[in-house]
Amino acid sequence: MELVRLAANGDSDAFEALIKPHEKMMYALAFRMCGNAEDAKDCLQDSMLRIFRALPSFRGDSALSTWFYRIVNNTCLDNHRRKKVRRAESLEQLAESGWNPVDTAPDPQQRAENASLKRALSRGISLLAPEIRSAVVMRDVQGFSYEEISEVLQINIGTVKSRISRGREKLREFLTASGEL
Amino acid sequence: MDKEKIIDRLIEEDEIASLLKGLDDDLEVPFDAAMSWRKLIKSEAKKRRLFGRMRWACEIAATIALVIGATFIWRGLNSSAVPAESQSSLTADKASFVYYTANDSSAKIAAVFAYDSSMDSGLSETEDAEAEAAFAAAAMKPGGVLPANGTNDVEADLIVTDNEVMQDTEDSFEEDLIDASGSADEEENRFAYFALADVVTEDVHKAGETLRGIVSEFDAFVETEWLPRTNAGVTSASGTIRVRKDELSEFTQRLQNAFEDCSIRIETREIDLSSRDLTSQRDSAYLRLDELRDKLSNSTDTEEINLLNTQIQQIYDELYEYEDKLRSSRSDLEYATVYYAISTESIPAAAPAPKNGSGFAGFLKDVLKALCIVLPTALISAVLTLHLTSVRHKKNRA
Repeated sequence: MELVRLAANGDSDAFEALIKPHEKMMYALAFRMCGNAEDAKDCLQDSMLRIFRALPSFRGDSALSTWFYRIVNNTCLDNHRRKKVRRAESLEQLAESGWNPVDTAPDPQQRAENASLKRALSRGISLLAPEIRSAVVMRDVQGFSYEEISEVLQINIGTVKSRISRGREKLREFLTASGEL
Repeated sequence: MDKEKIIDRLIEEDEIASLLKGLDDDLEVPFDAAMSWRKLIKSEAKKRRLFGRMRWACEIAATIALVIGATFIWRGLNSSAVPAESQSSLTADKASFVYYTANDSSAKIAAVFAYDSSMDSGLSETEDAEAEAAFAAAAMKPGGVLPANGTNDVEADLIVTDNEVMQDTEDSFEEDLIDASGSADEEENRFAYFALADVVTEDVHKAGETLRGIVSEFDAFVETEWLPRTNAGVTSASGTIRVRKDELSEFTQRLQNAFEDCSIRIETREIDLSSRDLTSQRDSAYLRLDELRDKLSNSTDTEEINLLNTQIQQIYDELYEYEDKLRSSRSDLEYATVYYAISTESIPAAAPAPKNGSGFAGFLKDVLKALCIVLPTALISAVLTLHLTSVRHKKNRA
């Protein structure tokens, strides 16, 4: 809480320390929500600025991390509304964005299959509707609990579950259609 | 859908979920993204620190400016009501005085005020001065309505009111507006002329008679007149005369010939800009009026009709104000104003305003008075702002 107080008073070092544990997750969420690295970087930057500016008004009604992810998610949704989402079309683009799939599978053939599947999954995620995508990413990619997702998205748990279920169904359909399943 | 298919589907979805679980394990925040937001936050923090310091300075400066501004406005309001010489003579005397008003060339008595504060008003000198200044402020307005039975127990009887000004029917109002727009705004290089005539004589009454005689020789009229009064052994009278601008030079020459000790100063003031500004504001108000009238003619909803009527009435008020000002500026363009003062002794030109304090102590006194005026408004604004802020915070939390 001391860090929060310092950061709220405009201490940039305290803010950095406060954000550091969540930075990667925040970027991952932004990346999955935006579908490309450039927009994800912009969203991350916008989100950080929003958080820094809004921190003095943070009342501690929810967990700090939940509040961070909510801001990231809202920033990404705003960004999505502003322009058409550019989807990650190629592996090169993903690699550029910092995605470095190091596969530990012993068999080269299995490694290739896994890489292809991951590519297809990324593509499938980027094709989901933003509301569904955020729920699926938070639950299945980032491992949030339903309660946490419910708090971040400010929707009830039933809706969270229904969105995740619909998202998985859409992904399954996509992977089946693309021959990955 | 048979059981096997459902099971297959669930297995597939589980498989998808397990694949998704490790999807971003290797995802790292790009170095440039990490650097750019840190840089941005540092600059934001710097800005905030600077702003924090500047905010205090700005708040203090704004408060000082507000207080000083309010003080000057307060002083201005109290000193601009009447010319300096009229002020000094106004407060100096408790005798009755006669106020004349005129519309164009036909002068007529608007009101006769008679009061003797020393006899029955029971007011202090300051209150007397305030009453006089308030009266004078009303009197100096073109066609101004004078306060009858003022709050300070000043006995005031309104004898004649200017019917042209007081008409409030829509038709006559509009005629008035159209008439007032006149030819004044078509001219270029507009100047209003003012003359300050200071006459020193042994017999103020006789000088007043002579002055009225001169006025009757010209296309001129006495606009306001304070009858002679005596204070500290000095008898004085003052007032304003309106004379056609092209006759001003001849008129002042005639004054100098008529009085042995007569000093005259002529001043000009360009009023073209303000007149143009007023004209454009008035035209814009007319456009808005037309729009509202159109809406009114098409409207069937009672609430909307009421709202439109209110808005139309507001625009009428605005138009009335603009036209009044334009009429006044047209009058200034056609007629020059001569402020005269007749006295048995020369009246100092820069007589200090009686209501305002002099020097730093006086200024501080006025600051306090201004604060008394500003504080209630400031307090109400502060309470409202706090209330709105708390409502907003509650909403945000909700």
